[in-house]
Amino acid sequence: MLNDLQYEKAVEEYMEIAAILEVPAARGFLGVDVVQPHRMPETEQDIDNLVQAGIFDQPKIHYFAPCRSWTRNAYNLYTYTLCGVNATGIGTFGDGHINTKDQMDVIRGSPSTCEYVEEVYAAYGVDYTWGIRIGTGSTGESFEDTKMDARIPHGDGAGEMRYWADRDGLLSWNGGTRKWTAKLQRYFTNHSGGSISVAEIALFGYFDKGFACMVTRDVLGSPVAVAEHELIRVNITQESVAFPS
Amino acid sequence: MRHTGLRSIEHENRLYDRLRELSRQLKIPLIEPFLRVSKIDRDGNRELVIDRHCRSYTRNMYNAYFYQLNLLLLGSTYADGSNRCKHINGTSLDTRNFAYNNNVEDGNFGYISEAGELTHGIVIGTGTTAESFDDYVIETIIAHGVGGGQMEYADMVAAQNEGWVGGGPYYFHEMERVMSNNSGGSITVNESVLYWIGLNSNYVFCVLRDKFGAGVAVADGESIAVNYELRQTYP
Repeated sequence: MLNDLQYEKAVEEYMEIAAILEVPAARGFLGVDVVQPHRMPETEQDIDNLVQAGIFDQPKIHYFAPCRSWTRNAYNLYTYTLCGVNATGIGTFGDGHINTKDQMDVIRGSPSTCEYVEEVYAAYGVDYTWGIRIGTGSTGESFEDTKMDARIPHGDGAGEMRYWADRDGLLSWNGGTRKWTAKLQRYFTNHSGGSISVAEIALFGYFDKGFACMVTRDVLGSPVAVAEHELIRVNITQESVAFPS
Repeated sequence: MRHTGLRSIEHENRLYDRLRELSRQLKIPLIEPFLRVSKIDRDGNRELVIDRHCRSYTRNMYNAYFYQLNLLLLGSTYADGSNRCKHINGTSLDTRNFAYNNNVEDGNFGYISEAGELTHGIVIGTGTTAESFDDYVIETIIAHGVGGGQMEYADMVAAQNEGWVGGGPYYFHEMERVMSNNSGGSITVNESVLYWIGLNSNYVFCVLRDKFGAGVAVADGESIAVNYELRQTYP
């Protein structure tokens, strides 16, 4: 298994070759920041105000690492949508089968998204069935992962954290590097009465407006402790290969 | 001029070998495009005249690839700084129109079209302009028919082949179309495209446009088979 540095070096090589061959490619980064506000936010606007006031300028904990965890669900989405291959049925999820498996271990049909981010990768309000989700599980990532090891539920009880709505994603173009950057983001707050150690982060897509399927799952190199009355921000950043000129 | 970084076919193949290896190791989806063109004589004998990787993904394909990861949209044009796709009629459209959520192999959607249908699938032309990343339509289409300069486009539904190759591992989708020349004269084919028809069946997107190194002359009574393969590498 490659460490983060080795992985980054290999991804750089991948991106360079993809740029020469002119085939589309993308990489991902995971960012986690923890802060302790003077007053806990109670609304989305409270969070926005804290962010604008610069609370994340000097986070108590900052974690940054490459994403390395696209799952079979994500690959099958590509095979279906970009290679034009029909779903192969719901009998088996595995090699040679084009479908998806949702978080309830149910195999679904066409792995299509085809909708806007707020309907697929960005959950509304406190909905924690899709979008960015966090957990305490530390079992290593597998290509076959379809659910989190131990997700942190939404709430204020022991071991729970409040899920805030996924933020509007941010897409930007850099004319110098000729690359796109997309950022997906979500905030969580700990009102549980104790510290919670965040060890895994996943992105769920609400495919076909019907079922939540996990497309990435990353286990953090070192878990991030979020104390009572702390705010955590999770960023999943994607960067494209340099576009041909 | 595209692919200025490539020195030779051998160089290209070595780079693809390495890219495949890294794709599996790093778990980054790689979709390799292949183009194979054959001439078919009056007796049905085939001669393979082009067999190589495509070097012609368009901006449409790049935008669709990145869009699937985040579904974010920006801009209103088919150009740098905007991630819209471009319909073959020249209209820039929301990239979500690229996607579809039903049968993509029945001849009505996806890359697969029925006989005589030129709005999606494999289409050929006589244009000689070099490929461009911003291509969105074939340059000079060869129309369907038996008139002067026309060829008869066959059905693609039965000609497709797909499957899993465990030794790769990869999943492939091979799409082929035979165009027969019954026009009464020779026609030189210089370009081919692969068109996708998606969520809204009014919109068609060109994902590959290949200009042949040398035109393929198809005499009256002969045919040309164009085969595109998209191959997704799996970890």
